Amino acid sequence: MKHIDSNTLWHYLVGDTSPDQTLLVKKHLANCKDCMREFELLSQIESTLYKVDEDTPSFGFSEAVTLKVENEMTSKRKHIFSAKFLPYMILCGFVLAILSTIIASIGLDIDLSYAESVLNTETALLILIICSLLWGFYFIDKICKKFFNPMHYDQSY
Amino acid sequence: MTDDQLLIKNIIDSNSPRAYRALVEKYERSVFTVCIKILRNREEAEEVAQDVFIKGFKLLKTLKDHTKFPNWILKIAYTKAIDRKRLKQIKKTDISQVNEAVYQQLETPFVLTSLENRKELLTKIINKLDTQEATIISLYYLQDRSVKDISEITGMTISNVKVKLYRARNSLRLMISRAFKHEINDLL
Repeated sequence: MKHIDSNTLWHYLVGDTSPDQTLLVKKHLANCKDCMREFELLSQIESTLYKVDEDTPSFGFSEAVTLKVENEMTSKRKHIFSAKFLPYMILCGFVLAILSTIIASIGLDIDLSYAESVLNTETALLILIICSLLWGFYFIDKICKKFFNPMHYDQSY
Repeated sequence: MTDDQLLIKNIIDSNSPRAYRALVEKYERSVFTVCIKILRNREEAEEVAQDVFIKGFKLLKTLKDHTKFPNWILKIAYTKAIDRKRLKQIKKTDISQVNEAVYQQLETPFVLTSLENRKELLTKIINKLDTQEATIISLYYLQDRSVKDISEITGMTISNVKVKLYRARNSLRLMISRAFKHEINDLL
């Protein structure tokens, strides 16, 4: 008598056989002890597989994740006030100061001499020089870190 | 609304890592299992699993259907672990190279051993399977995911998942026959 191969038995076990095939396997199993033994073993493997436990990470895993997420959020907030954004903030402050003076002078009907005195060529040049210097320092610092301390950039990996 | 949907809504509204912790605790084992089956290294799997949850927190707002969170986070885990594996070039374990000493030549037939012993043996054998087969077996049996879910997580077609699942089952059967002296199967 020709035995049923393991693959067909697996299909039969998980209900993945056609009605004709199912009938054939059923009949064969009723008359073949070897195949029945194999079928019982496969059934046992299948039922045990459902009971195998998932792997468990170390104790404190979720706390570690929470802390890392919190740290990332904090560093993101710090980043906004870092050297990269300082020149933008100075420029914004300068523009805001002028705008508020103009708005106040219109609203309160006072003369614009103060706004004009702030917005002269020398002041604008000075602000530009300060911003350029800050940007310069920021990029020199980045380049130094990249070339002289490569581990600094490998930490995320 | 399911528990997951409520949790996710709360996390998005509050943008709080503390609120996210409940979701991490619920899915840490599933994510870790996928990572360890692919990477075969506990420390590395934990590191990748942590990155998975961090990425999950950042991208949670982009998840449209909150009921899909389990598949979504497992997909991130699968992709990240595969990427890490590619980087590390972990050697693939061949069935023929399985260390017999792991489960010795057992005298008692598999069907007659206790459930605990069978579970322990199957855990060891799953860890000796090809990483892709081990992952599919874990997702299907240990995490009760459907073939369609596995297809979504791994990016394989449904028929490909089915084929790999059968292959994995046969590999398991083959390894068990090697472990048990009395179960020499003439059919194989």
